Amino acid sequence: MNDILKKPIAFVLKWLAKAHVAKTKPYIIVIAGTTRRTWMKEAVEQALHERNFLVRANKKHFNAEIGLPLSILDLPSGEGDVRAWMEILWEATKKALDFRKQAIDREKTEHLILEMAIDSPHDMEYLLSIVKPNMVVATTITMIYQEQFETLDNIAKEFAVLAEALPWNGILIINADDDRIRNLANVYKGKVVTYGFAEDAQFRAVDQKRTETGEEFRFEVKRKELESYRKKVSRFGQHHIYAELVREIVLDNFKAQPKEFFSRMAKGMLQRD
Amino acid sequence: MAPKVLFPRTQKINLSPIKQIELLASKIPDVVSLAQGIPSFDTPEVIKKATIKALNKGLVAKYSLTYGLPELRETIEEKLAQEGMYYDFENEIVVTAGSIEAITASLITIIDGKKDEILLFSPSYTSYAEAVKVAGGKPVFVNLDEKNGWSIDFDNLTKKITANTAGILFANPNNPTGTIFKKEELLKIAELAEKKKFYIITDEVYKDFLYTVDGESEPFFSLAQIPELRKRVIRVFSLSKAYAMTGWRIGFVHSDVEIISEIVKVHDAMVTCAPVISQYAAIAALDFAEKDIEYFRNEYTRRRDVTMAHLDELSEFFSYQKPNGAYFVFPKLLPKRDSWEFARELLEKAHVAVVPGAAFGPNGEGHIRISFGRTEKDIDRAFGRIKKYFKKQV
Repeated sequence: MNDILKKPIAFVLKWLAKAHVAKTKPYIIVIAGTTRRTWMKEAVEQALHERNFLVRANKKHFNAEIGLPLSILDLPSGEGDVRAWMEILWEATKKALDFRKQAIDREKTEHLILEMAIDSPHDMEYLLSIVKPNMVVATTITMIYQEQFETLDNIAKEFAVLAEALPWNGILIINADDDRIRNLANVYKGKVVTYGFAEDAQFRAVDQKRTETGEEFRFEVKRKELESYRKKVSRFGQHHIYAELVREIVLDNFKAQPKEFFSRMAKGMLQRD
Repeated sequence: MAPKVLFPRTQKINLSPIKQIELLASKIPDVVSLAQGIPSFDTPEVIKKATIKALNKGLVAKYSLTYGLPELRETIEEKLAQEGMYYDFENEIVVTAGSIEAITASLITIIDGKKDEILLFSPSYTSYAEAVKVAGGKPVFVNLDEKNGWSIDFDNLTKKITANTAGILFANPNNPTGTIFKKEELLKIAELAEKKKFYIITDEVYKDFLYTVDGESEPFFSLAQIPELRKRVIRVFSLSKAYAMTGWRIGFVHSDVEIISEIVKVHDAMVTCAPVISQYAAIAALDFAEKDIEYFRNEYTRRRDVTMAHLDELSEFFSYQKPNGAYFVFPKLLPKRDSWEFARELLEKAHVAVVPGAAFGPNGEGHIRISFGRTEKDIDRAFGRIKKYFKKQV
């Protein structure tokens, strides 16, 4: 898309997405970090599905100034096609202005998983002007966007802005093995849950072993007593262990709600259209 | 006294015969080339746009990590998982400057001391033997069986395995024959590799161009799909052919962390990192250019049929095995004759460039490689000239 089109489209989409969020009030889960977001998103989505919640997650790359509002509105990209964009904006307007009870009910129970990708300073502020999180899962800070930020600490500042945007009853889930991510605990006074291999991680992996078919580890969680058992993921790489830990955190924080489930079932709202 | 030979080691390495033919062809006006394996297409728009965006954002001027951009490696891990191959983007995938750099780095890694023999199928891609020599190894050719659709002759292969065998390197689908090796054949290779303790380097740059045979096609099988073989198999892929990006020099290699942690040292010493601008292009290619691959595949299918129709008209002069992958056909010259001499004559008299079969190993002699990666117009023009050439001969 050329820059002349991009700005007005981003502007219109932003306000329509804001209107849509204000109307439907979905529970927003933001996945942030310079890498590993895809697997975290999958893990959170899977856990919420296990709990029978209505969940929707953004498509890959739908995570910045244009993609984020499109994700909220559940619309595709028009890419370089002006006519396609006109149709998308029309659809977006209809969605944002659809005040029928059924449409609102459907969205109201929804958990929306969104990635927020930043590649320049102050990107996070802009993305937060579109939507604010109820829960944040922070993965890691690596070199990936360093070119635009001068230092990794500047990237951490962007994520601090995200953590600060959580409400008092929000949840901040942070990687205890990444010091910059760990420090986010200092900027949020609400519920913070840590995961990782670090000794003090609340949801912890220890004794990692690679087998021929994936990674094995001992999972430990400190509840009233220490719970500990071996787990296996049939993928290779520590990032899959981290994703499994986050899945456990989500399962722990979102208990099954049979009443709501049966009420949705009665209304035929278990599946999205 | 004989004059001292400068650089005796590199004296043994030859410039690719494909380049030699292209060089000769460049001196002749109005030549139609079916020699180089370059797609006739330009890089898809979606890739170019994403690259320009990265360029304008100032993202491409600096080195990336030696392994490559994390975002690209994450994308590669996702793509591999879709194809049933599970590798860790952080430790088991290295982005390289095309597949030949990945192959050379892999060869340098596995060739060690007496373990210096690399098995190559004959015919197989011309640059393999040279890459083996660059890595300090010895190419050992194993003939493929033309009568059985260029399949692997296991008796021959077993005989060539010695205590010095460091590995086997092959392309699947094979270049120049367009053969897809069967799953059973590949598993047999794996069994031998496991037993005799050598590595398998599988170059799968043409895996996106598979054609149905008699209306049926099997899903593509790679040894890298078998977790139990991950310490034995090094898989190489390049975006050059699939995404029409030969000039971007971008590809990747993946294997178990034990092997990759060594390959990456060689990669670092050779190129530091793959071109960053091309890495951004690769992200867009892998995420957005699926439709373009589909379009290329359909085009190549049509061009393959056109090429085969021409060859059928020339059945007095060529016999061939129907290719079911890549974009090459490897016809046999009838009656048998020297492939270099024929290629040279065709170039000089008919102004058509093809690659002599001898370039692909001793078993390629008596054949030529024809690429149908070129446009249909070029294919028709070239065959028009070849037909005239044979008419004159008769």
